[in-house]
Amino acid sequence: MERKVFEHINEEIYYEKLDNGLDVYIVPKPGFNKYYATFTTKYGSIDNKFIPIGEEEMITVPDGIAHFLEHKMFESEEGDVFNDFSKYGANANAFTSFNRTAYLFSCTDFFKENLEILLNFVQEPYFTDENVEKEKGIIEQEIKMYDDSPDWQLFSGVLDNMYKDHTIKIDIAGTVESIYKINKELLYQCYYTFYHPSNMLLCIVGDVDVNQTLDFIKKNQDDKDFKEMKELERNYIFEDNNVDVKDNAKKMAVQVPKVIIAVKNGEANLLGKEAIKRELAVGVLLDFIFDGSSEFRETLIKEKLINATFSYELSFEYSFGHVLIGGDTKEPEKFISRIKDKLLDLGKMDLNEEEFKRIKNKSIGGFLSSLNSPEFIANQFTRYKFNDVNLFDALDILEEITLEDVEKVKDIFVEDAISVMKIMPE
Amino acid sequence: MNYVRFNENGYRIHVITTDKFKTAQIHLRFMAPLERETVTKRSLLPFVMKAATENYKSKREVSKKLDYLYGASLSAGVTKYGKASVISFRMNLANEKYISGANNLFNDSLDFFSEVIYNPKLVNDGFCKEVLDEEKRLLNDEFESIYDDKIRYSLNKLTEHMCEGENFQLRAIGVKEDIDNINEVDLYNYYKEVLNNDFIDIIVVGDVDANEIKDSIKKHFNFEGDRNSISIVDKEERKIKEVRYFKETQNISQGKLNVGYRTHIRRNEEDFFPLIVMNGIFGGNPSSLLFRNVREKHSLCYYVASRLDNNKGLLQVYAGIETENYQVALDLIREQLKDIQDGNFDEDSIELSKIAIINNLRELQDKLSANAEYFYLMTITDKSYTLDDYMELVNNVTKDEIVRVANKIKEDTVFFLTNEVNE
Repeated sequence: MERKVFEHINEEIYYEKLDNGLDVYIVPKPGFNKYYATFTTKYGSIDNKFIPIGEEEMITVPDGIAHFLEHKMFESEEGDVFNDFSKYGANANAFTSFNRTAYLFSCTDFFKENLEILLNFVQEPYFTDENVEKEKGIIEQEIKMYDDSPDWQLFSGVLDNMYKDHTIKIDIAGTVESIYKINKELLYQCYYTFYHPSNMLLCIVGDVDVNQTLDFIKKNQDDKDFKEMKELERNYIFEDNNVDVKDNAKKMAVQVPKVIIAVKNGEANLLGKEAIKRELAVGVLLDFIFDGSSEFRETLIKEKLINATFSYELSFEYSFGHVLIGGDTKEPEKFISRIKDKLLDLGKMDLNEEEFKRIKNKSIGGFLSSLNSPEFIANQFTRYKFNDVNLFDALDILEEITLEDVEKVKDIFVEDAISVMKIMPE
Repeated sequence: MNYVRFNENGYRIHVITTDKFKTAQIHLRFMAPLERETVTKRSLLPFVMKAATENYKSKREVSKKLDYLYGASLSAGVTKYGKASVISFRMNLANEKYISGANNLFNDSLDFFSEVIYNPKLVNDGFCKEVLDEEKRLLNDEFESIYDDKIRYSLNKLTEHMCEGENFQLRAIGVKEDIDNINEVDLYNYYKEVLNNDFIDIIVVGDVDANEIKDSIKKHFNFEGDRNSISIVDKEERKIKEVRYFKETQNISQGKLNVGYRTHIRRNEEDFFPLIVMNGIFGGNPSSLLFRNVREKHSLCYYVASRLDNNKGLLQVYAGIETENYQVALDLIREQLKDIQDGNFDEDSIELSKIAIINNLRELQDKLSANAEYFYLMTITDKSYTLDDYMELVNNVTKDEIVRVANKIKEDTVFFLTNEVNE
């Protein structure tokens, strides 16, 4: 077991890779009541094409199957897994994203019991024709809930615009049509390929006894058999930064137009420190342009082009990455043109040392605040690890970033990389 | 964790000390009756105060100042607690010891906080008109955005219909039509009233020393004076003769069903504890009857849950369903409540509900703001349960008590947001 200490933020982390390939990380949090654990597989909605375990040929699976699988995991032969967690006072949940699926619980007592339930239910799939059928009605309602969400439609619309072939275009929950093609055989195929321990990460955050916890996990895993797993063959699609569709709109029952402007990142094949540095540098650049202390933000407000819904974010993962800027606006065309003009003219923008220092201080402060949250630690830790970086090292990298690093990433903002999506009132 | 409350003349200082967080929080809350004449002013005021001060004359200046305070943040808002409207400010700041060069951060932050409260940007006898106009625009937009979130919108509509003619129908956000009529002089005069008359609570959470904090607060703020605290519990109730049904159509994909009940129980009554355990069994978590039967067994929805407002005595169920399943879903929801009223539920489900409530309480202790909220709520409802008291009272709830409180519950109103196709 490895131990790494981060003195100046008063955190430490323990790590071990088990015999079956499972990565286990434990972050002690003395004094916290809550224990939080996530058990995540590096499998999400973009993984629709792969070579199933023990086979030779690539297969393509129906849209929404990773998410469907997530739902079905909670049903075991004995019944509803939520009930098992409830007995020990735990709150359990799960989520499926583009490139990972996480199962998690939080509790303030019976940590070992709940951890055992987590490890067991995720490693014991139980799919029947009947329980698969039943889930379709529920997921259909989930899809419709998202159909009625203007913010979600905005988001998925612009992703569809940006990418030509990348499977990020697929809705995470699938469509009503695609989920009806899912059956238990397909679920098992996906499960046995991606839920192999060597493709998974267990992260525990809380006031635990590290050695006891690790021993407990090892014993649980040693009692189980897993098929030999060679390298997982995925089908990553790497696109350049040219967007497929530059502009699109949809009408919905809203009172105010909603706009999102996306910028596609062409260099999505980076991993490790290089990837994180680029991500953090873009984050700093975005703060320079858009944060509450920027001149541009003040202009947008004075011109009444934005309100409290204005936001910006970036999402850089392996094989895809983009920056998103948007919000509600009463003058969509003017808003879009202001933002685009700004983004395409970053050469003129003066990035001075003082502003840079201010933004760095703010980011560091924000990071510290996030470390109060076990959820943040576990989820972000897993995400960074799947991209080959340690979350706590990211703080170091942030502190090391130079103005030059930030200047360099201005090159992301080019005309062909920009796509716009609008949701308009009917 | 340690809690200390200092009862001063006209205000209270609460200090919650704990060393497990890397940041600290300072809350400043102003309480006044929820009233038609002042509700919208109270919704605008905190944002106007936060937008510009004499020394930080724009949002941009305020933002820069906060950035220099190592990424401190300041948020403002207004919330309804039963009969009261509470204006709140909250400042988050990093704990000095984790940042080199940040000694005096706490004091500097309080200086700034005090500036925001006492020194808003003024022009002649009122607030700066430009600043006020901007906040009016943003508040207008906030009203409009509620319409776009269908789940939130339909739940609001349920409450609006249920509480027709009652004070509670007033929302903390105010009344949209009032906005244009509020001018900068009126609002400034009202601001002075708020500072002089509102009852004030200051809550600090973090790795701090209670007495040092008290001294620091008193150095930066002066709230001495005779102020009346308010009882927040709202017992006003329209007489229910029969259930009322309301429907609205929009171009949406999924129907939003909302059912409202009166519990006839308030948070400061003994029946409060059986009620929250009952709600856990009914629809408060994934082991509840609503989740297990309406969602899992009959596949009628993805989300279905129930929530309580214990200052007003309301229980509300909300679910997203296929529009043609309206009657089926409504019948099923009613059936779950009836089962509880008839005692058709086992001891296991009582245990599960209690465990969930206690677990949630303990988890909340790991969140700065939840700690502040817990003690604030205790204080303003005149209860002084320690966390252990609270948990014991939950554990002592019996099946008979649950059945008894369930039978106090009366269905009041149904609101259904649906689409044209199935009207």
